[in-house]
Amino acid sequence: MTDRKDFFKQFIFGESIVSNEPLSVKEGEKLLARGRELARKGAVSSQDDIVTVFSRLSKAWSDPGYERRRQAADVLARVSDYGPEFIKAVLEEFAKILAPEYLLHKIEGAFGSGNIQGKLVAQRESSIRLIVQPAGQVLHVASGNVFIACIESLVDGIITRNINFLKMSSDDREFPVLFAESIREFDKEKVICPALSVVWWPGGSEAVENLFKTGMDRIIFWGGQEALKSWQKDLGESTLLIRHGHKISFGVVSRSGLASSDIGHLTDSIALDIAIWEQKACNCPQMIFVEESVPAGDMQRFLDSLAGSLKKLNDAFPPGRRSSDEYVEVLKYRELAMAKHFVTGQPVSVIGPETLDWTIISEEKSGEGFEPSPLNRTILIKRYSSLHALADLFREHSSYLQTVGYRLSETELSEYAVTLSSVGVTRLCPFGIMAIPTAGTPHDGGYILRDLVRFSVVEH
Amino acid sequence: MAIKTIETTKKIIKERAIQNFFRTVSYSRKNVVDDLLTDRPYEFSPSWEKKFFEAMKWSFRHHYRNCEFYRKVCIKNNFDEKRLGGFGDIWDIPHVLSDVFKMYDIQTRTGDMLRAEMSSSGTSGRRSKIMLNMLSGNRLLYSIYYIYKALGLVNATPANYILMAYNPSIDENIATTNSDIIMTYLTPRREIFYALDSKREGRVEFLKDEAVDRLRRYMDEGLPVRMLGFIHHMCEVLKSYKERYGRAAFPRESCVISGGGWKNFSNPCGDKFSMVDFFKEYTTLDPRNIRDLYTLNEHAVFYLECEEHNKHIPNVALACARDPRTMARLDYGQTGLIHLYSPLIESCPVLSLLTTDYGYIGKSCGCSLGGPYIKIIGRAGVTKKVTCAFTADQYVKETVKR
Repeated sequence: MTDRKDFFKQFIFGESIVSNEPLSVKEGEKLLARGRELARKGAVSSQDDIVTVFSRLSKAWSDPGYERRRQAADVLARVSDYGPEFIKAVLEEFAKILAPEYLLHKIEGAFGSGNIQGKLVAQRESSIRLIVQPAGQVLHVASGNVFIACIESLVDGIITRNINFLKMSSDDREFPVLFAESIREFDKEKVICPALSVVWWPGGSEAVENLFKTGMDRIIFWGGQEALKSWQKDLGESTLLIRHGHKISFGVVSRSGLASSDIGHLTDSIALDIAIWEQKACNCPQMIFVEESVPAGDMQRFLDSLAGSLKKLNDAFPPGRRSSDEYVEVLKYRELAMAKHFVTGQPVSVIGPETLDWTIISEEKSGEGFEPSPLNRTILIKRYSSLHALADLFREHSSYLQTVGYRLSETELSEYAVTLSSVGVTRLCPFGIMAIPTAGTPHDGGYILRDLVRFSVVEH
Repeated sequence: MAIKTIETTKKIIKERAIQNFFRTVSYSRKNVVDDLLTDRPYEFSPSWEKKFFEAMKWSFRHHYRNCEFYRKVCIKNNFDEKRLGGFGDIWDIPHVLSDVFKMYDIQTRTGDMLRAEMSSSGTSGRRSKIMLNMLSGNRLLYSIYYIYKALGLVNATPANYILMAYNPSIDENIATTNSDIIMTYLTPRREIFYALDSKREGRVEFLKDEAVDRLRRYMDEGLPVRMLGFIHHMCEVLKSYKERYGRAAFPRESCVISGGGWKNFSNPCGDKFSMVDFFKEYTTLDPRNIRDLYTLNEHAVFYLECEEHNKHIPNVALACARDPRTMARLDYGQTGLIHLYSPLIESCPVLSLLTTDYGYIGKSCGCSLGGPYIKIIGRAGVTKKVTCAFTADQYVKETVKR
């Protein structure tokens, strides 16, 4: 039962509604009926008009004085666990994901053409042409860890001209509504808002969830495995669930890659990948594998430099709020690593401040394997003897693999990419951009925008 | 075959050791640690601090000299005997995290070779393993006996026992089983029933229906019934009993002492589960006879509830709560990780044990014993937040599935 005082806003087809109760079954039914009606009428605006609204939005959000941006900083400082410095930095970049050039890059990356609406999109080297239509009604299920992810998902749903519903995470029931209200501010022509709703109910409310499970054309799920299991059950015959469940990312540093590096620049980039989103995003590295043949002196320099980089970043972007449980998890890893060293005699080093702000746990023996980190800027440094051994290590975890950050020589990259992708890795990128994917590239092995549309094919 | 014989012999020796102990309830002094053992476990006399300090100092020296692992822990923390100048320095004795014993078999050399292995029940996934030498075992038995006596649970009237514990013939090393068996010596024993046992098929099962039948028979007999062990299973049995026969009308002087298994139980029943309220609803037991016990395989001192339902810290131990981020010692009433100190165990470096349980230390209980007590809030270190990053606890779940 929701606390009587626990008022929050929902955004129903352009209207902000204050409530102190989660979305009820009755309200859900009304919402879906209206969505069906809109879909039947084909009432969604043109891609050009949508991009124009986003262009206005992007301009507004790029202004640090924009009232809603200021409000967002306050809201996120309150509802998320991230530090104010980090939130400020994210909001600094936020406007970019709304900018027309970014959105068109995305569309072009996914479909091979920047304008897909109602046009025949020719496929290279074949006579086939495609028509791209919106999937229809789309529910985006937000996770609480990365507050931007659900917004990007929503924007994807909008630019593919769907009727969109966003189920907010219980951790953040404010920022998505604030964003929807920001859209309304610049959507005088009612291009987007009449087909947009942002709602909340507590995860696991079966009756409401069943409405959406059977009433949607697509459900885009972001989050952990337990919630995913529940969303996988009892889906409607025409509902497709697009799963973005939990994933793990890691880094690879080869001997020749390290030898040809500016070590300070390399570790600054790795530290950024580690610290961004406090490792709670699926594309942040949890382990870094360093080739075993890297000489001891170079390895020490690498560790020292990484420690320096993490410290530097810690000063600029101090960690946000962490729960006691999170601290205990880091503490456990540190203590168990030291115990391993004391009991087995294996060289293990634990580097990091006593306050547990960041931690490097480095093992010198290769083959010590796959081990998720407790997150919160805790990086596990492992050694690997060969690319083949590394691939073997990850093969049995292939369904969870996502991004690999790399520092390799030019001649190694191709072989590493082919081998690691063959065991399930879906993205390889240089360190420093692991959590900042390039627009128009696939995510989790597929193009998100393609999941949000229906293709019709025209053959000669 | 030879190994089996050795194991059987050890088992018999262990059983006899417990039996022999309870025959006389006596103990002879070996060193300063034994000066702590008295028949008044909750008395903190003016000389107690000095005795406790001397015992901890002796224990520290022993583990430092005879356990390579612990010596390394101390060297890493720049701590040696010279740092132990007085009682206040005890708080600085380097700790070992309880989870370490779930990963590694760590022992301290002692004079006696005979050791009993104790393992935890594994409610949180992994079992910890502790080796107890005869001296440590006897100290614990002595301490436990007088703890129960001080809290009014040693009685001359025979009782029937229902143990929500594994039959020791299945695994006699499980610490909770051993604790429960020890408790059956607190009265003359009429009959003992183990609710976790194997049927004819050989598979270990929770014999809920059989436990209900047995409880019914014991009720009819009219002798006091003592129900001990895992709280989760107790609740299941009493729910089932109520469905079949109504609220369980326990004979006079009956009691319930739960211990272990609450970590599993806290989830399905929610954080607000109250053991006393549950037993009030399902039984006629006097709430003063419903007691919960906090103990760890790695520590083995008993923190038993008084009639006010506070888990008292006996004078063979010291406890504090620590801030998990800074390790700072917290004030009374402030919640943190529970850190336990006791010099009783010689064969394992657990003199300063940092647990992964949240709780706080209460300054003084309103019961006749007074003195500090531990309030356990829950298990620490399992992040409840949803994240799309694959996390360690998910990895454990996936690994177990395979």
